[in-house]
Amino acid sequence: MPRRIDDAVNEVATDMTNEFKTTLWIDTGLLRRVTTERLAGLNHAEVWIGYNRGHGFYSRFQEWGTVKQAARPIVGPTAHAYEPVLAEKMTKAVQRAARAQ
Amino acid sequence: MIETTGIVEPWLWATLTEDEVLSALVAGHFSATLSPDPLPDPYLTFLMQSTRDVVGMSGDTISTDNLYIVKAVARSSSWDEVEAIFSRAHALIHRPNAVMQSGSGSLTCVREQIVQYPEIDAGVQYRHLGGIYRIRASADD
Repeated sequence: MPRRIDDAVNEVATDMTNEFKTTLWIDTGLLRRVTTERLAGLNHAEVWIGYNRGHGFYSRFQEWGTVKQAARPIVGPTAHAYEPVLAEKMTKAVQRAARAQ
Repeated sequence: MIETTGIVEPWLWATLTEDEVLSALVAGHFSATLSPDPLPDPYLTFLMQSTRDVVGMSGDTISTDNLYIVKAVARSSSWDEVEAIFSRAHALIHRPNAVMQSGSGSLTCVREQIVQYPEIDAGVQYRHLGGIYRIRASADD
């Protein structure tokens, strides 16, 4: 059962990564690098934004705004949109795994 | 979208701006999603980050699931000032296990994530401290 759930988590992480590659702030080149880390067996995946992770630091200014620039949120809305997608995939993965037992 | 314009934002605005303690902390400087001009600091601002319809089996939208950023901003090299402001704001709007009436509907509001970062603009330090709140709203039938 864990492998099927792992697969569902990884699938959603990959879909999010691919979406970020087309939607992230294009005027900030440092942020366009998106990496996905999958931790097999833990039902866990992480999507990182920015080169070498550390440069994703700048994304908070885009995402949440500065004193001179309004917020231009992309990461939060994308994750928000994927919540029901993940729930549906997880439900199906658990159902398939239960039937296979 | 009646839930955000008619229920969520009026509730946020009224709850935050009508509190005398909070209003004194920011000298009446509040801004919302559609505020046209930047405010002098310190100020408290909120804005819609994301919204999603919750659709029932019938295909009707039964509620909306919204994420709002609420944050205090101050020109400061420490967190003290924004912490005082945001602590008050958080106490007013983070309402687990409560349903609030607003306009022609009802809503729930809980914080899901802290937003905290410093900013340096032209050599001046600013501090941003707030949270992302999940606000579920539904209109009365």
